[in-house]
Amino acid sequence: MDITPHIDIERALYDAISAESGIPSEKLSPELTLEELNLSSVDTALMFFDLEENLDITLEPDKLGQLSTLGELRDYLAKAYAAK
Amino acid sequence: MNRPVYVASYGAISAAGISPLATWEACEAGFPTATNYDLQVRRASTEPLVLSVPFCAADGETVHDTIDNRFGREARRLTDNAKFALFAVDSALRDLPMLVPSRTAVIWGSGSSTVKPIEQGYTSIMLDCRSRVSPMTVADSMTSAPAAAIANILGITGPTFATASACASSAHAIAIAASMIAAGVVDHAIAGGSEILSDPGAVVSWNSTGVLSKSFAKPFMNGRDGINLGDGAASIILTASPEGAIARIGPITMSTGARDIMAPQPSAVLACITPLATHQRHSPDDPIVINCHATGTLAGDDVEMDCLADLSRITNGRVICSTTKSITGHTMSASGALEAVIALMSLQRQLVPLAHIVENGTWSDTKPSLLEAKFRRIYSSSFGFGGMNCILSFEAL
Repeated sequence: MDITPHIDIERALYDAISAESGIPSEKLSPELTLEELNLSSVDTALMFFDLEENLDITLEPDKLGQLSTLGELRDYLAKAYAAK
Repeated sequence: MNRPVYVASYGAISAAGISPLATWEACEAGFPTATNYDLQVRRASTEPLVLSVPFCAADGETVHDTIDNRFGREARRLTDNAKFALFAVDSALRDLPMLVPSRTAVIWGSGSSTVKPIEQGYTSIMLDCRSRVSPMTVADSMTSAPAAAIANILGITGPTFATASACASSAHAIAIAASMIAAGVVDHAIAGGSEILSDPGAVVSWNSTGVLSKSFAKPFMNGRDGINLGDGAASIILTASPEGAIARIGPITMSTGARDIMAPQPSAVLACITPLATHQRHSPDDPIVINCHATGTLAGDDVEMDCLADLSRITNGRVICSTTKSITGHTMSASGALEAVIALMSLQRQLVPLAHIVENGTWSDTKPSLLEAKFRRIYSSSFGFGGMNCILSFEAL
């Protein structure tokens, strides 16, 4: 029996962005790039911290640097979550 | 360039309240604000650590709410210490014309409060068994974090940095800020200091030094047994413009003990105090009025009182000594600025709260009282651990 709780990764990502940047989550979409969000360094650092805490994963900075869109970030998070 | 420097405004938070007037009124009334800070730490293998010490706690909740509502998301992330700093500055700036950001400096006294984020991070890993700490830990624990918060939130782009000289940190901040205006480096400066000591780590650490009083601090009084810790923040807004000014910056003296990290060095304190005898007074009958460092410790007060007695002998006159740490507690890196604010209010009102008098080397053997006096200059002295000393002065216009 699979007892892994179902986690909506996209929802977790949008919640973290929204919590730290103040951008309403309904304005976020997979096509948006991180650059377009115009996040401050603090917004970004705290958003990744929230994701690590909430999903109980460890993010790799060099991989994050290669990601452009929220969709790509979501997929990366999903892989990291599945691999833990 | 050596132009006059003026005080445009000030702000203050202490255990007496979150405005300069609240602090002044408590000093005028002479009632201590300390209540008990109770600490109980449960430990796995030993008896719980239980500690209860008198403490002058400030109203942090109102400070947080005000800052969060006024400055929004960026401000909400600030540490308690940075919020206190911002509150003290913002309240002082409200009635002033807009400062020119590029011609304004932020010089902020910083003490031990900035280590709190590291302490929290360490606690979360060692006690709560978490695997990571907030990515803000490093930025928040920088000695310069409150100065940076003030500049960033208020959009100040002139020189911004911290001064650190223990209990003299914010006095040095005001002194350096005044010097920068006098030299023409900037036209305005936001100077002051902030300290949050209502924190288990700070209370336990200070308790270990053996200088905490078991009751209310009684600076310069017989039966004194130590200091009360206090939370606080204070700002002084300095400017090159005399328009609307409250007072003018007078002579500043500094010295360093350079011998002992904790014990006050009489020669260094004397080196800071005796130049006051050479400062021109309005008339020979003018008393020298000082808001003294006066913490309430046996050793520190002894040294300071001996030096003040010497000053009264040298000048052959009266020295009126205001001892307001019995009201605010010792707010460490904020104390220089907080007492500078009280000194300015004293000058404006021609009243000296919690005053002792030393005349021709002899101390009046009475309890401190609120004295009326005529004086055109008031000093504010700070003597920090490490023997780092600074005396500011303010003159009526």
